[in-house]
Amino acid sequence: MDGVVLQLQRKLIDYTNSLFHEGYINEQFSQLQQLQDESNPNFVMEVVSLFFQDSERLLNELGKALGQPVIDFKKVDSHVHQLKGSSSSIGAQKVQNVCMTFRSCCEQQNADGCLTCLQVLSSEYFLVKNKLETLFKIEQQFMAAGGSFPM
Amino acid sequence: MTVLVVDDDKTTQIIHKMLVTRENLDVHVAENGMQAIEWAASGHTYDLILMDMEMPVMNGLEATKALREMGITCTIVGVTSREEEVDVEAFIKAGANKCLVKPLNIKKLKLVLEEVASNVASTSGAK
Repeated sequence: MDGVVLQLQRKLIDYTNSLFHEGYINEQFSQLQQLQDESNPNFVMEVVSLFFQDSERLLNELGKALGQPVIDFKKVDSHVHQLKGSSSSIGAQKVQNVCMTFRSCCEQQNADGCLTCLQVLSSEYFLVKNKLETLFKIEQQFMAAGGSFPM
Repeated sequence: MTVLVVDDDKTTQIIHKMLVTRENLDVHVAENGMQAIEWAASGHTYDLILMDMEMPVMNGLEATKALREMGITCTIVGVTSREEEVDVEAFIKAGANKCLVKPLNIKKLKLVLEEVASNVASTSGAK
């Protein structure tokens, strides 16, 4: 393995570790990485892209639902439930944590609490999206330089 | 062995499908409980059904109950995103063999598959 590949491999490992240590992703993300192999080299990226699409649709729906004069908390809870499920499936820990608080606010029919949760949720979602996109860019650089998985 | 994944969430569907495929098993995916019932009614047979709890059209509890009433005896594993005892009890009461908390992973699935394999071996052909 040449120097560039080794350097990118180190960068990739360090960046992935930082995401774990900062709590953005958890063990479930490692489980997804284990499912990725030569026959499915882009599995994690495909799953996470699906998560991004779905999350943005749900955040949009949540914004609409919480903007109504009379809030349908059951509907809001259903959207948050979906987001909680998909975030736990990919191991987006911080997003999942906010969803849990959000569901409690729905249960209590706490409109202010729900609005605050939506802001936090949106912020956490875009943060993890940004972090994972950076991770995938480093992965692509590693692959382009001749690196391969599993490392 | 054929596994039916019943879940409305696309991200979960693709992950569960991959988990099952990696074990060299056949997998079908249903979007909700009603679709699972329709497939079972149309003659598809499964050794294991991974049934999500909260889904539109028909939830996992209703679907599990209906499948049992149809005479489906394969292993049904309820999959819930909440660790609450009440959810587990509700799934078991509906007819599920056991209940697992999301997210599923390789380890959890392998344990279930081992149980199913031993059930299939002991009750061969009794689907």
